[in-house]
Amino acid sequence: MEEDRPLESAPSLSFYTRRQIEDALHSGHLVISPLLDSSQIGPAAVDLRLGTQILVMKQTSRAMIVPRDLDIRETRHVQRLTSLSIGEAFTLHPGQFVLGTTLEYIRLAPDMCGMVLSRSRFGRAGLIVATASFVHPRWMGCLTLELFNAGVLPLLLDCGTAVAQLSIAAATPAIDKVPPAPIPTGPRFAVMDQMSDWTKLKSFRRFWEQQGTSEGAVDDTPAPA
Amino acid sequence: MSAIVEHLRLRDILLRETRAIESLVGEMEAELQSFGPRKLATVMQLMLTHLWLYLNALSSSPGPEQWGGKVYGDLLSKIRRLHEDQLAYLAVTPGMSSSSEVLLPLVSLAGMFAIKSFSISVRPSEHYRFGLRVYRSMLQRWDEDLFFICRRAGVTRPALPALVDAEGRELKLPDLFVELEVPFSQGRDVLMLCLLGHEFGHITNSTKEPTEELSSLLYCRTTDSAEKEKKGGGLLEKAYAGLKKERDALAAVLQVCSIARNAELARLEGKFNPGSFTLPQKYASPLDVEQTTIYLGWEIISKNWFKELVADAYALRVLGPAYLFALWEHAWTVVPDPFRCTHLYPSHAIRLHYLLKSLQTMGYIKRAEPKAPSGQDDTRTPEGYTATSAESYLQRIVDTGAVISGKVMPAAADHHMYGIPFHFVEFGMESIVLPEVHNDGRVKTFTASAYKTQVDDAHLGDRFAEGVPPSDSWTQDAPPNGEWKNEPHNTVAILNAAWLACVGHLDKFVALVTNKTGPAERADAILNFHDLVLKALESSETFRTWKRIDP
Repeated sequence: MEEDRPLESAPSLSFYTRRQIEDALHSGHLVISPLLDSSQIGPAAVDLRLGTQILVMKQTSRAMIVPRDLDIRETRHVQRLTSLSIGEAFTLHPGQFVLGTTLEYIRLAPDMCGMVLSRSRFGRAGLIVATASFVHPRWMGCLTLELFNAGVLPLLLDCGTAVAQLSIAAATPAIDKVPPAPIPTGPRFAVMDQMSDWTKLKSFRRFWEQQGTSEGAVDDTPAPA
Repeated sequence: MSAIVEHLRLRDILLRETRAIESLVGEMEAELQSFGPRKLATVMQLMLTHLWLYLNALSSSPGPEQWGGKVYGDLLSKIRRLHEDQLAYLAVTPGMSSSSEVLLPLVSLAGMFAIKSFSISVRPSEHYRFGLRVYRSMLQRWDEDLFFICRRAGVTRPALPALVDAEGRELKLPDLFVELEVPFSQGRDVLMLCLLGHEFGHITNSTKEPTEELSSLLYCRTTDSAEKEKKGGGLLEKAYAGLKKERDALAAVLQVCSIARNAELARLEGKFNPGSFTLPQKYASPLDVEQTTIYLGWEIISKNWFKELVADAYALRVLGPAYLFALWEHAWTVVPDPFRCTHLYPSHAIRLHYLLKSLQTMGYIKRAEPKAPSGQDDTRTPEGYTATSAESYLQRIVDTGAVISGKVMPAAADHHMYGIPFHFVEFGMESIVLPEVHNDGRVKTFTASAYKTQVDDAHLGDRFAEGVPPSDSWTQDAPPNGEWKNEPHNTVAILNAAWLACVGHLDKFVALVTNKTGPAERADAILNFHDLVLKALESSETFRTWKRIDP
């Protein structure tokens, strides 16, 4: 069938290896700064260190987080920013979820995309580092890490420890422009009230409600046997 | 028996004072906690590091006795000893240990300034002012509170130090608390924190008193002039004698302040002859009768004003154009009347002009010159923004400031600036190259200044303007062999790059980080800008520390 025929120009997934990463760093194509040690560059990924700012979720009287109502003001009710020094430890308790950041400032070229992954040694201790792990081309800033302790014992995380890694992949063709956006230098809590989907989904909801009132409610009660 | 009672009384007095000081420190600490102390401490530490380097450069360089060489060498040796004392004090003082890592950088700072036995803290202020307060231990104020307490207790002065010695380190008190006041609203604004450089200058000045030399220089000049007039006899002599006899000093000072302000206004309207202090009648204040008033006023003002100007010069020397930017922004956004003089403070106009002259002396000629606003480049839409645009404002300040500083200040400024050896000047700008730009902000050519420069740094400000923080900009390109020997830019370079970006390309920057031009969005964009600068500073300092620390 026509739909089954693969596109001739479909890109193949290829990750940058050490030499390519070094070349990209030296040419300024890729920026990862500060790169404290050249050993951070692995065979096909760059280790990322835990930064000095951590957003801790507060226990509040809020019954739930409603993403469509989550504006900047609302996020301040559920989070608290903690600043630490390099080498200082943060205790992540079992089941606790915090937002960290990478110490490194990262800038990707228009033809690069990235994947943020846990380092296996920390993963085996119960640490999950990133859940939203894709980084778009032309992205710049410090990556937010979603830290979760899935183990049964508290984890002591030193700021500056390499807990994550970034794999770089080629993105072809290179993208031209991205709309200007704030450049994060610390962990960012998601602000979702501006997403266009909410308006449309609200219309959907209203539509179905109107349908229900004009044509009679859908009888979803089970019919008597 | 009486000796024991006296001893106990004395001990009670000293413990009371200890508690009072601990309470003061605790109060400062509590306020720090609500201020984001670590971030502030990080910024402060970065600035202090540079100050330290600056003083080291002075000590290792032969120079005029009053500015460098042996004097600073002696001071530095004292500093090391005093710093150890301070660490010991912190170790035994309850309540300080928990956040000592916050205060230690600041304590280190005070150590650099060789204030004998001191403590230093940063207090966030609700008021919009940067300030310096010095608290003295009661032991240092024998003639005040402690004197009366001890007199009532029947204690003689010599007994007190002996008791302190007998009690040992537990009662060891700092002689001075240096407290820096930072407006709460500016705690995140890195560039505005450069204004603290001025306060550091005051601390230095309080130990070295260079202004005494400078003000005495000026004092002699004006006195000579006044004496000449006196010898001439006539009305001037009479007026001079009358002023000294009948008018108090404050009246004369206020008189001069009034004249200074009027002179600036006259200059604005092009009706003032800078060659003399004579003003048209229209601009004369009611008390403006004789030139001798001015001479007398200068004698008084010079002592106060020069303290401010020398502190400015110190901050400029250490922080470069970033300090000028901070003061300029302060005058532009906060100060109600930048042309207002008092007998304690010169107007911001005078200070800016003085700093501009200093910058030109230091080699920042092209950038220090005011840039005409360009219609092409000016995409700002908010109401009223153009009216207060930095460029036109600076131009105005430069013109009017030239009046007051045109005659007396340059002589003193020249003495001050040229009195410092060439390489001291070089140190302040070792990593800055200033691009020459057209009025519309386009880069014309890159010109290396006469001083030591690094080629790559020329792009720093421009990269900043493109939204690329200097943290990813290195002093040299990494070599192809992969050996990471290079270092990121230093504090001064980053601050100055931020200054360049703000002065030349803020609009572009705002447009980059947000496509909205409303005031709230613009404020967000500027906050984002400060975050970038902070991140750049943190990255730079982390890298340097990482390389320095031996595992």
